[in-house]
Amino acid sequence: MLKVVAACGNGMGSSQIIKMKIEKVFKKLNITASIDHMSVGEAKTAAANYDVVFCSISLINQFVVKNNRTKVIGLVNLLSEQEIEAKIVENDIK
Amino acid sequence: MINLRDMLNQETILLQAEADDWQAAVRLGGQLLIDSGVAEPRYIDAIIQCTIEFGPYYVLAPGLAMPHARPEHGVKKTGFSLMTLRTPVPFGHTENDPVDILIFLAAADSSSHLEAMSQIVTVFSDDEAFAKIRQAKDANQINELLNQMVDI
Repeated sequence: MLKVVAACGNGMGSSQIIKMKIEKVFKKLNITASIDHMSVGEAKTAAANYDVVFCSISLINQFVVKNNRTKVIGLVNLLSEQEIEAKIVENDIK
Repeated sequence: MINLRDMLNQETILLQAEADDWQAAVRLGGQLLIDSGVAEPRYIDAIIQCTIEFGPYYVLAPGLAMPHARPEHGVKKTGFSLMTLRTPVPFGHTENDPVDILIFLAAADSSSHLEAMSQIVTVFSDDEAFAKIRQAKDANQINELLNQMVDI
């Protein structure tokens, strides 16, 4: 199963909003995923254990992942299911 | 369960406010959390500090920000406030600037705010809601909108 983490500055608000939205889009695309959410501080350490990291575009530079597994996706509009869906497809996530 | 409608009232809604920059906006809207007994003054400092450190990651969508910090930064109980600005201010976001709708969140723990936050997602997934909230002149109009859009 795809392992996904939603990250934001402190793991309380935006990351949970991202989680709500990506859950919906994954369901629509019939992709089974387990989704966690956490702060960027925690996620930086944990990122390598995930297939995909979703975060605000403002945080994308916080993640330097040196493996072939983890994809980091920065979102401009956290509420846009269209943007999330397009980025999932574009990054060939399944 | 904490309902957004119960959290947003005359005391926690400030419409068509004026702020010179993002820090002034965060202080002004954050004051509503302090005045309504939801957070301590240091909570607002934490939001500003966190923004300086990590950038405006809580600017959720064009024009819309949800400033917040963590429970241990001085949250007394879970609550929300809403502020709109007459003149939008930039938060330093690459694409969603400038911001004129701010929902302030104070979460006492990791779960008690989730229902209200999913209501926020519902409201702001509708483009018309942005226009209606921007135009709103008094808190009753916001409450009416929430009554229409959030069926709980």
